[in-house]
Amino acid sequence: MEELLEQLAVCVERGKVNAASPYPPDMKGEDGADELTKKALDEGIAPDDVLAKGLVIGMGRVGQKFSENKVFVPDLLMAAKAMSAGMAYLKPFFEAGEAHHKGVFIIGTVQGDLHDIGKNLVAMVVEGGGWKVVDLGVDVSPEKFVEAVSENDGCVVGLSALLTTTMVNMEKTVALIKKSAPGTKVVVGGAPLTAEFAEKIGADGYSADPQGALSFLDV
Amino acid sequence: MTARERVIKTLEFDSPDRAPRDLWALPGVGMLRSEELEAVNRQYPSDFAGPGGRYGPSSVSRGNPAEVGTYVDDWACEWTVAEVGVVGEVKNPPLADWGRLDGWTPPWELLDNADLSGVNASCAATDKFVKTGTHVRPFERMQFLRGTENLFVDIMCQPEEFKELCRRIHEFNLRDIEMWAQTNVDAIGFMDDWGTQQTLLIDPELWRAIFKPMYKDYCDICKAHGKYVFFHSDGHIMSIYPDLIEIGMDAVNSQLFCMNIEEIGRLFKGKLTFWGEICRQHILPFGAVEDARAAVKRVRSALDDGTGGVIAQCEWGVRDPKENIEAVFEAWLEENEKETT
Repeated sequence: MEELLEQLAVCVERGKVNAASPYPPDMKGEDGADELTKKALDEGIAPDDVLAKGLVIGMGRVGQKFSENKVFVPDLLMAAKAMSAGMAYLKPFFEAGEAHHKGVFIIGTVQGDLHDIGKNLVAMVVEGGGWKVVDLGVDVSPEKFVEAVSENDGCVVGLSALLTTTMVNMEKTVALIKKSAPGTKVVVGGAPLTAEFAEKIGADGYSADPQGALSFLDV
Repeated sequence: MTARERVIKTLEFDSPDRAPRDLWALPGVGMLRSEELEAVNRQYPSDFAGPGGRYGPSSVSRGNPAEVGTYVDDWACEWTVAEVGVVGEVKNPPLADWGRLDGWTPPWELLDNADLSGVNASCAATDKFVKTGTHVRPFERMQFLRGTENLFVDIMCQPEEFKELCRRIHEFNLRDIEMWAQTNVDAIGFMDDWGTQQTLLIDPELWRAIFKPMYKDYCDICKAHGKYVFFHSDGHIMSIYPDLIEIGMDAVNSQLFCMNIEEIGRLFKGKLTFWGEICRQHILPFGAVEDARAAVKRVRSALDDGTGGVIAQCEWGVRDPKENIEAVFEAWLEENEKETT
């Protein structure tokens, strides 16, 4: 079992989606996360173990390397694609209550801002870390965040912004979330942000990269 | 010393009388704060001028890029704009599906019907340094055409369609550069945003394999025609500075304040002209006048020993206080006066 799950973790870490995928070149023709997840489940490995000891391990490794600038955005995207291929097999188990997320993470780019690549990377890594992700998309109003929070008890919220003109919209969103659902944790990120800014607007956390957001959630 | 001479002396590390000025203003500044913009430009005139030519009319573009809503650019990419005067995002990339590549061609009409007939006269009529922009931004162009995430996957998997798209865009870019190189402009500029806050977006080795050869071709054309090469990239691009120098770029605008400015100075001062800048993410929008002045001093201290190599450039964001922009140019003048006294 351990060997198969380690193979699965490697596939996610290296971005090997399936046997047909040409990437990475040195794994051409080998099974990918798709085939190995199916195999693990067919062999009777518990879905929670496939998630926690295979997929999450692989995504954690690549996320850590990304935060250390040892791999780059495309590497993270390929890993997320491999992760998604495996997660597709786990979906029925989540729905049936036989596999479990660590919690719910609601993420969106704040009102007025249309950028999504950073937000998407965070969503991928957090999902790869075992969390259920509710992605509200871009240009999300404070009210829409609040509505999503009300539908997901105990969730954590992530706010993204790329522009100096839109990062200021985070403050209103944080305030409204805290007012409507006191105790809800909010983490913020985006190119122009700093920890100081996060503190100033009342956010609970700041992360400069996706893995940092996951670390915040996992604490 | 004319403005043109000043810029050339800067680029040649030949002791200009002061750092040449180049104020960039986001479209929203011109739209919403035109009087302030005009006042700053009057007080601190730019040493740069545009060439006055124009590309041919597009057969597909529609809408206004500066207004909230959607517009289609010259390459048929549909953009969504959320705030007046702030650049939007492509939300409907025309080549997201490779099935559309077969019948796709770059917008050659932009070059075929370009009117550069007045360019040489406008160059002759000014004593400013004439720099032209171009459509050349191969990485970003492919992002706009394919979608960012698709393109990153393409870069990793390198399917034949990706190679073909690179070829077609590069062919267009070569003609674009060639077209301007035959005029009397002083410099030709192109761009791509390569950096995150911490590092390059893609592995530098992949950048060297795929994109550096394209840029070298553009630089070679410029150099063969005696033009200076200007390049802009957002983000942390320290890992490719040596490459940019190697292929012949003269001036690079990058987000110095994402990087270690002092280290950049130690490694690259005298090898490349730093085309600005002053931190547009923190200092210009949110800092005090004193912060802006200190930022100029820092750049000056790290990168400019009085022999040139730095252009006093900054970008005016739509909500940045005018006082901070003025402070940048005031501080540059003071720094340069220190040098001469």
